[in-house]
Amino acid sequence: MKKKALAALSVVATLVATLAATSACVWWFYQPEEPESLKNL
Amino acid sequence: MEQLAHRWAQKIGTTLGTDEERIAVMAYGLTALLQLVLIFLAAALLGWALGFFGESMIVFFSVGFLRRLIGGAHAGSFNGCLVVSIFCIGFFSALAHYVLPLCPFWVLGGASLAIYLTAVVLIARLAPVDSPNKPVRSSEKRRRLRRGAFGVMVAFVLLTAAALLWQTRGGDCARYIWALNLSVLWQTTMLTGCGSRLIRIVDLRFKRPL
Repeated sequence: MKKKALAALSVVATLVATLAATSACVWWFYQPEEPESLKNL
Repeated sequence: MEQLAHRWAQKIGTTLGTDEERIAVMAYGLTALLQLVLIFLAAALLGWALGFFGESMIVFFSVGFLRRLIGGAHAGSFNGCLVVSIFCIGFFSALAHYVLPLCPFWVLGGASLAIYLTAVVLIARLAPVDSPNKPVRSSEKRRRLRRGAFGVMVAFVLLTAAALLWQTRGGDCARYIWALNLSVLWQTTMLTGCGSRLIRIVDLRFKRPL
């Protein structure tokens, strides 16, 4: 059960990361360093 | 907060047996999610407590959507970002709710026109403004972001025009128009050197040891 919840959170986090990678910045003022694999999106 | 997102990503990655790059992507996504949720909750609470919930939601979403497409000056820390965001949402919402609706209709119409014209010129000349942590290198992506920004601006202009029309027919929506106008003005100012200097001053305050 815990593993399924963590897998769901990992999917959501990856989806948000992909959405952020296709934009100019994340949301409002702070921009964390973008991982290498997202730099070409 | 960013460290918390990294710890969570590490825990998920270890449990699911994923590689380091995937963990970095999850940490990036969780940081973005935490930022979005915390600023949304702060905006909603502030708006609800001080009686300008609608205005605070307009500022939160319009600045957020526009910023995703045009970029702008960035805070150097998560906490600096939280403080600037909450202050801006509270200040602009309060102005739009309590002060600016006292202006006559022609001021509202004239200010809307001036703000949108300035915003379009600034976006055409400067957007997207990227950050060292997320450089926008490809010219195709820059074009796509600029096109998206103009799409959002067209939507904002149409919404403002419809709201102005409603206002002339006895509607009471001046405060929402002012909230959108202030958001557009603020976000496009963040494209300029002036906006960048302002954020740097706030950053210095947060990096100074207490």
